[in-house]
Amino acid sequence: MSVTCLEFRRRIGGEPNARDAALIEHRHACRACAAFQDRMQRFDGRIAAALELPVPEHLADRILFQARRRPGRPQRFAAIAATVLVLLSGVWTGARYLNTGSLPQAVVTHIEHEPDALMPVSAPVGKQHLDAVLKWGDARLDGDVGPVSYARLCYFRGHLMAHLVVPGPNGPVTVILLPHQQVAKPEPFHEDGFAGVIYPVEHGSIAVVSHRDAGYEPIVRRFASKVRWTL
Amino acid sequence: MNAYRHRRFEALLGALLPDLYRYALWLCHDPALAEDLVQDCMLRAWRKLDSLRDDAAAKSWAITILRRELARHWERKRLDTVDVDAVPVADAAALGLDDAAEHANLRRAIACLPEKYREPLTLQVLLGHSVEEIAGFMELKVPTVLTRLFRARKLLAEALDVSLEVSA
Repeated sequence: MSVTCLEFRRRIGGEPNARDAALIEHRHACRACAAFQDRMQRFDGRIAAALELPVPEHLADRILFQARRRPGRPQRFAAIAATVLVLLSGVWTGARYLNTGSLPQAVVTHIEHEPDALMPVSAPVGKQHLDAVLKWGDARLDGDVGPVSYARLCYFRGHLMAHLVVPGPNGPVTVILLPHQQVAKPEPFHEDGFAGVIYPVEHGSIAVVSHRDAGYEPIVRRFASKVRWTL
Repeated sequence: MNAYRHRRFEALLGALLPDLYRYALWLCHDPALAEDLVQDCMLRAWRKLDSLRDDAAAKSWAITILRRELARHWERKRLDTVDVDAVPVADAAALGLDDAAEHANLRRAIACLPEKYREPLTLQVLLGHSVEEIAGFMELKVPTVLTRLFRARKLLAEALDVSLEVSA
C-alpha cells in the first residue's frame, strides 16, 4: 500500500526510524520526504543526547543493599516462619518497649542506609532543592538554619519526610523532619554508635542525630524553633 | 538458587537502572524523588523476580512497575493541590539546565513540554520503546501516541527555532 507525502510525514514525525515497506518505498520515490526523515532523525539524535542525564553512582549499591535485606518470594515462607518465631519468643519484651524503643532505632537504621548522606560535599544544596524537599515532606523552615549539605525526600514509616544533613561542631549532623511522629517530651538516645534526640515540634517531631561526641545539641536548638508543618 | 537469583537481579539492575532513573527524573524532575521511585520499583521487581519469565521483557516489565510507583506517588500528593509542573523546573541543576553545554536549551525545552508529550518522547527516544509498546504503557491508541510524539518534536523544534520542514 502506497502512502502520500502527508501520511509519510505524519508517521515519520512520530516515529523517525519507522521502516515499514510502504514508507521505504515512498522515501525512495520522494526526495523531499527523504530529506524530511533525515532531518527528523538528526533532530532525534540531539534529543536522545539531551535526555542522557547523569545517574547517581551510589544508587545501584543502595538498591542492592536494600534487596539483600529483603527476602524475595521463594524465601518468604522461611522469613515468615522466622518472624513468627521471633515474635513468639520476643513477646516478653512487651508492646511498650516496641512502641517507645522503635523510633530512634528506625531513625538510625534509616541513616545507616544512606551513608552517602554523611559524606563531605563541596557545596551546600540549593535553596530551590531544599524548598522542594521540605514541601514534599510536609514541612517548611521559618528562618535560616545555615548551610544544608544534603536534602532528600525519603519514605519513613509510610510517609514522605525530609532527610537533611547539616554541619555540626564536630562533624555532620542528621536532621529528619517527622511531621507524623509525636513524642511527649525530648527523648535522647544512644543507638549503634549514634547519639541523638527525638524532639517534639508542635504535633510532630524532629530527629537530630550525630555520631557519638559529634555534638548535635546546637542543631536541635537551631531547628526546633524554625520547623513548621504544612500538613 | 539464592545466589542465582541475586546474580540475575544484579544483572537486571545494571542493565535497567540508568534508563529507569532518567525516565523517572524526566517525569518527576526531582532527583531525590526519582531515586526513591527507582528504588521502590526495583525492590518490588526483586520481590516479584520469579514472575519474570523472560529477561528480554524486563525493561517493559520494570517500566510498568515504575509507572505504578509514580502514579501511587501522585495519588498520595493529589490532595495537596501542588502544581506538579512547577516542581520540574525547581531542580534545574539535576536536569542539566544550568549547563553551558549545547544540550541545555534542548533540556530546558524538554522539561517544559507538557507531560502527555514528554512521557511518550522519553519512552521512545531514551528507552527505545515502539509506538505500540508506548500505547500499551499509556493505555492510548497507537494513532494518539504518534500524534503526541509528532507534536512533542514540533514543540521542541519551535522552542529551539529549528525548522523540521522541507519543501515538498
